[in-house]
Amino acid sequence: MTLTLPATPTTPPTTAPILEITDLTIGYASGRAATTVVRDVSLSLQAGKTLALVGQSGSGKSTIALAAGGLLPANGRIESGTVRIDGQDVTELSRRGWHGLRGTVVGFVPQDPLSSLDPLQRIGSQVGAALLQHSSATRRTVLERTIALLDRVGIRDPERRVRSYPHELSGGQLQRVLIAIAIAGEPKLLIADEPTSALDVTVQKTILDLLGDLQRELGLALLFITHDLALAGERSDTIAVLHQGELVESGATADIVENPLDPYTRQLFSDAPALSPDKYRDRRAASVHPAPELNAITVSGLVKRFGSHAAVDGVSFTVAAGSTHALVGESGSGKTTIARAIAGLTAFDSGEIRVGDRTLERTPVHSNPHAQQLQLVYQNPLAALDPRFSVRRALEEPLILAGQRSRAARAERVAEALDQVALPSSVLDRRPRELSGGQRQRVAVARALISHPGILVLDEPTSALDVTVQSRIIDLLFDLRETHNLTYLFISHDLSLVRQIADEVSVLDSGTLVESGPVSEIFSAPRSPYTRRLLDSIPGPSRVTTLSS
Amino acid sequence: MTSLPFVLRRLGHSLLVIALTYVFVYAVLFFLPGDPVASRINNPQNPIPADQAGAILEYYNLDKASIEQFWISVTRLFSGDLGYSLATGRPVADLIQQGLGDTVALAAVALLFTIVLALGVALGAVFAPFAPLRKLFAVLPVLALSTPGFLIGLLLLQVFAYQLGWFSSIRDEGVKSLLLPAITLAVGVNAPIAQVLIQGLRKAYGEPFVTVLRAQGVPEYRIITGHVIKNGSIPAVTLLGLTIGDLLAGSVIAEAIFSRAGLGFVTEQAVRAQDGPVVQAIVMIVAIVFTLVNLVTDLVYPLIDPRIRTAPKPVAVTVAPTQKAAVS
Amino acid sequence: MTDSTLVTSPASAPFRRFAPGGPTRRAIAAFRGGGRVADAAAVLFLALLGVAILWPGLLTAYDPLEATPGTTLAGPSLAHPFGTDYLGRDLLSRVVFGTSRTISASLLAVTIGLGVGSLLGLLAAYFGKWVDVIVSRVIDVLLSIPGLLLSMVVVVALGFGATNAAIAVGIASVATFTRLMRSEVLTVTNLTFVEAAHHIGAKRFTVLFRHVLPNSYSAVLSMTALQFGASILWIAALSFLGYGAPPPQPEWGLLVAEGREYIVSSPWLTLLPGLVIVLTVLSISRINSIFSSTRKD
Repeated sequence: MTLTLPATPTTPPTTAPILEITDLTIGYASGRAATTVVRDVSLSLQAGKTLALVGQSGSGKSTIALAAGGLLPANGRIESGTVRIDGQDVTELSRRGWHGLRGTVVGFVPQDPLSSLDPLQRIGSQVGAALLQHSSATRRTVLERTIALLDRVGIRDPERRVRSYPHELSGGQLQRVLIAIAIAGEPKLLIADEPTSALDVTVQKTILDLLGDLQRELGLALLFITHDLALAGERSDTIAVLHQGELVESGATADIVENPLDPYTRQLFSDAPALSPDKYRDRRAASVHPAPELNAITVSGLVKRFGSHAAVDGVSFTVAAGSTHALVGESGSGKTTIARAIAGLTAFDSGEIRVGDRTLERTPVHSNPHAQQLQLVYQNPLAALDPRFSVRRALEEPLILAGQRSRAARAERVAEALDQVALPSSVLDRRPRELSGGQRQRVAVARALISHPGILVLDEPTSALDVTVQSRIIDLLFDLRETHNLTYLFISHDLSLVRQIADEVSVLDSGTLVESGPVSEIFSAPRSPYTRRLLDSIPGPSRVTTLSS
Repeated sequence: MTSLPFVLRRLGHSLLVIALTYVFVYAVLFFLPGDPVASRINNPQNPIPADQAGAILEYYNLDKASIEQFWISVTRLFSGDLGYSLATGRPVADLIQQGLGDTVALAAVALLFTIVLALGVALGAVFAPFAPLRKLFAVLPVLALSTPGFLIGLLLLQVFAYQLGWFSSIRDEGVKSLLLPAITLAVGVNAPIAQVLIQGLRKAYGEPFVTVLRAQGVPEYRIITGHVIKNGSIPAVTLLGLTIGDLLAGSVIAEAIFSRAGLGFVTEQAVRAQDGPVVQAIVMIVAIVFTLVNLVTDLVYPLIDPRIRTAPKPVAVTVAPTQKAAVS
Repeated sequence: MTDSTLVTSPASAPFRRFAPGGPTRRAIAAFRGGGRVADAAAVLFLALLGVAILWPGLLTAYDPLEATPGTTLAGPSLAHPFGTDYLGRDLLSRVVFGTSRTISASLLAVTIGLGVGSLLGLLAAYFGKWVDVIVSRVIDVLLSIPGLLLSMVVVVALGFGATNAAIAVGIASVATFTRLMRSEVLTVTNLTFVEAAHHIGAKRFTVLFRHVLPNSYSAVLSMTALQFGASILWIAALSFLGYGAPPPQPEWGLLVAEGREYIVSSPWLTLLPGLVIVLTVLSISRINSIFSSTRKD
């Protein structure tokens, strides 16, 4: 790369860095070919500090984390450069060589807590094994020490939890257990690879707070891998931004947040909803409520039970025609169930749903007769598109079903729809798997719009996408709303995104509606403590407190 | 833990399957045209004395309606009467009693070999130190699945009994003479298990918890022995239950080749003589053993996998498609 | 770091690790890369079998049934590459002429299994409720009897012979296809894109034929190939036991059985026909894996 950056932080270090990566290049072998995924990256992390490694998917951030922990998969290879941990060169270290470092010098917190513990062993024995290996605990004292450690990482009722199996714990609790395992040997460096990306926002905050506490208490250095620039800005001392395996910018967090120099970093800042909350203010105002007296969707007293458990328990709200209404909540809040009931995909037990002037049946028929009024856009477009269908067939299918027999008319409408979602006609003959994530979601939106529905229900349409891609899809949704006068019901867990784009918001917690109203009101003066907690967990400039301050 | 209603439901299901299997086998053997009893009596090459023929006809009530014959066979079953062989006139229960011990011993030894072989091949295919060696191990089950069981038996016989003279092909040498037929059976039966085990181990070895254990500094061999093997072999345990039937069925070939007078031999003779009552009894025994073993597997499952305890339904296991080829 | 025992070049670094495995996809890719020769051999062998079925005379000059006195139990030679049997018949020509018999019997068996089995599976998955209950119990019953034993039961009922053996094997494989078809259709029916098709207004039947079946068939196709190989083995086993084609017909399993009497003096009589069976089944599974990997890509 052309851009060379100082490997050392702006202030001269007083001691040797705990982690020092110099000109690191890593490749993955596949067959005889090798792909370089990290190129000439240099980083350094001081004891007790936090270095955030920020990048989108494919940036190489996780590969660097694995290399720093000696955990690269068998086909991964350090091609050049060095990794030093606590002054020791570990680049060429064998498994046995790593043995003395693992657990005691370097700890690792994984990305996916749900599959990161052995499902067949009790929590206690897994934490106990780490204690027996790395601490002064003996067979006699290990249970006591395990309980104390679990208590330290905030597991409630640890005496009972030691006997639990991993599947009996929630994701947040499992991540606490994994943190307990990582700190059992009191390491100096903790590598956390997207430690909260699989968790709900409120849980994310408590886990990061825990890591911050432990860091202060134990003097841990933290290598924090994240895709979330806002989170990095809030929780780190230095930031390194990666793009396609190369380091584009690094430096003190405050400097980077206030004055990003690299165009890619700037792009990231403007695309991250948490860091540019007012991005769409003008566009929102431009099209708000063309017909506020009309309700596109009215939900009243909606109840949906699964067995004896009520997934949705008496929810009522209205969506004004021409507005964007956001339905927010964490996992298990019932937001997706409501969206599916409105779309006529799932039966409900009581209450009433009106879409336009039509009242929905409680048990919908198999094939949707109202496809031209309301369409749902799924969270995962890859799953929602037939893998065997080309884009052309996928887009033509709704037209054929609507009785459009003229091949020329269909082709014309398909071309028009592609144009609306800004896709080139070259994608027409590709299958969903041959498209990028953003392109797939565009195809899904085009397919939903092709029969001119007035209402789109968008079920977390961008949650699987990188922020820059998300940002382009959101731009597209605004364009479409302006040109087609659409109404959106936008399901999301991402409050910063909702703040950016929605006119009204309904907040859900465990199947009940907590509050509902204009975004501007709810976000500035939430009435319910739950909404307050949700808002507090949005990272961003409004609440800058670093982990190690 | 496994709840009582769940156990009762599974038990009821097993009994239903056994009863339906009886109906099915009876229907195939006795309701289809070409009644084996009638054709046996009228066989011109092997005439039966008139008085015996009369006795057989009376016993099987051939003059009555099929459904009545069926009911009579069911009531006799509950009084322990399995009928009489059409070929020899001996009680079916006697024939089976005679062969059962030999075949159970054979199947038991073969099961042991099956487990050892499958585990050995799978461990080699996933953990052997060099890629070509792993590839070699992974190919073995495919090879075993493509080889007829009788060919394996004949090869073993030719090499170890005739060429090397380690085993007698005729004399009964006790446990020693179990070895070759048991290996013959195990080679065919272990292959699908080995394949599922290979898949399971590879999957378990790629799970994130392995990375966590590595990062924790647990030695690789302890990760494998203490975690990967247990997690990776769960699907194969279910399959192991299914192979019991294949072991019993495969004994027909193994016993034919190694001239052993077990249940398989009785089966072979009975099929050759189209001896319906004997075939029916043997098939039912195998079906009952198979069904009960699978019942036990299902009930034991929660003890192996704690995740099942909260939702008492065994995880669906994709059985290797070639499974059925194991014994041919 | 200075540990001298650890000096290795970066190139050898991955091999130091105990950790093999890696993503399965890459493993398969590597395996497939090294298997080009095997792929070609499999295609070639099946082509040869094709010739043996259509124009057996091209591959051998001898009559499979005509005995040549004086050359009984001759070992493999240029004149008789597979040797001769106890009546002096050329074994190669018996294997060649036996190909069509064995293959057509297996085709019949697979056709029965595939036809009946997938129809039952489809009905069970599509109609559900009591149809599914009945079909599921039928599968339970058929699966509770091991395949070989089940085909023997059918053979006892139908009588011996090549066709009956094939029918028996077909019936014995019905449950495998039913179960697979049922589970494939049920799995695909629950996928999001099927719901999405209903959501844009497609009717149940349209969805079944346009989305569900095309996405279910590849697994069934793959099973058909494997079951074809398995049928060859089963039919050979039935013939070996004497329940299939009667002598002097040249059928592969029967050839092995005939050779068995002379295994001490003339082992090639069992080995060579046995080897042909093994190669056939191996080639079929090899071809199947080529196709299923291209289908997935």
